[in-house]
Amino acid sequence: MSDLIHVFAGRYAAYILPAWGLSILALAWMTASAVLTAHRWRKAAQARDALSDGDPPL
Amino acid sequence: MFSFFANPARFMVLSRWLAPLLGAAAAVCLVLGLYLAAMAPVDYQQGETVRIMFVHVPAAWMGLFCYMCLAGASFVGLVFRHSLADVAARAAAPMGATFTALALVTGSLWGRPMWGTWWAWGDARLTSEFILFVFYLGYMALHMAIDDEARSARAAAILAMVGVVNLPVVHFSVEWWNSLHQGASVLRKGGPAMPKVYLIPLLLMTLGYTTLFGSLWLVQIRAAVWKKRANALTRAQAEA
Repeated sequence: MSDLIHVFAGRYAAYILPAWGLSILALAWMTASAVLTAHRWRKAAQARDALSDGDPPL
Repeated sequence: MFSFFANPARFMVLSRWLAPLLGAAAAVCLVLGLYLAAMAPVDYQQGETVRIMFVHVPAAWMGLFCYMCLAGASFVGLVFRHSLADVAARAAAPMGATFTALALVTGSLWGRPMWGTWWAWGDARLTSEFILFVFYLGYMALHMAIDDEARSARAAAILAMVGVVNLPVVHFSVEWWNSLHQGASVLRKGGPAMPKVYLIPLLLMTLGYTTLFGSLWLVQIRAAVWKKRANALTRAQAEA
């Protein structure tokens, strides 16, 4: 626990916290962006599929 | 093998279970890696700042790895004209650019307390890493600048091939030139030059970043396949 306190309040916290924070934010943003984009286009394809008779090429 | 996975229908079946599997592996590795990184003892030379290594090194590794994936897919797209190769290359670029930007920013945050400077243009490792970032931006800009999809994919693929020259420069820059940046401490002759208490969380974080990229890459390619299908259906319905 004392190690953790040093990470969040130690002498170098001003460098460690932005590095970890930015990394976690970037990974979360990449994940959310990829999943939401995939979800949006899957819905769009399914909606158009429902209107279509044939099976156009991918 | 290329033609086997280049079939979009087969790819969609395979990636449907592989993407969540890789995502789950990434979550486990990242949570465990971050916990062990936070609990790792303070380094006798670098103090607490050694903890930046656990997010900086995997990001730098991923910057190179994503570019290898991008260039490999570009090569396959350019030479074999497989339908998914261009899509795969294009999907890897924003993630590679993000990882490289993270490596640059976290490296700068690590460099300030250790070297006394945020940035040094004369340093080969820092500059070659920045050039890698510029190649990613150039690749994405080229794709956006040309309307015709086949032409833009071809032009961007050629740029991606050219950028491969920079990869060994990034990796070996610390050996070829005097650098503020430390030398290789994991992939080196004689084995890793760090104790297990640092090496294990570092490898876990690296595995977490790699599997997360694998999962998101598949998700992005799936999104592109659905986008193509939605656009094809829209065109077919408009013509009917």
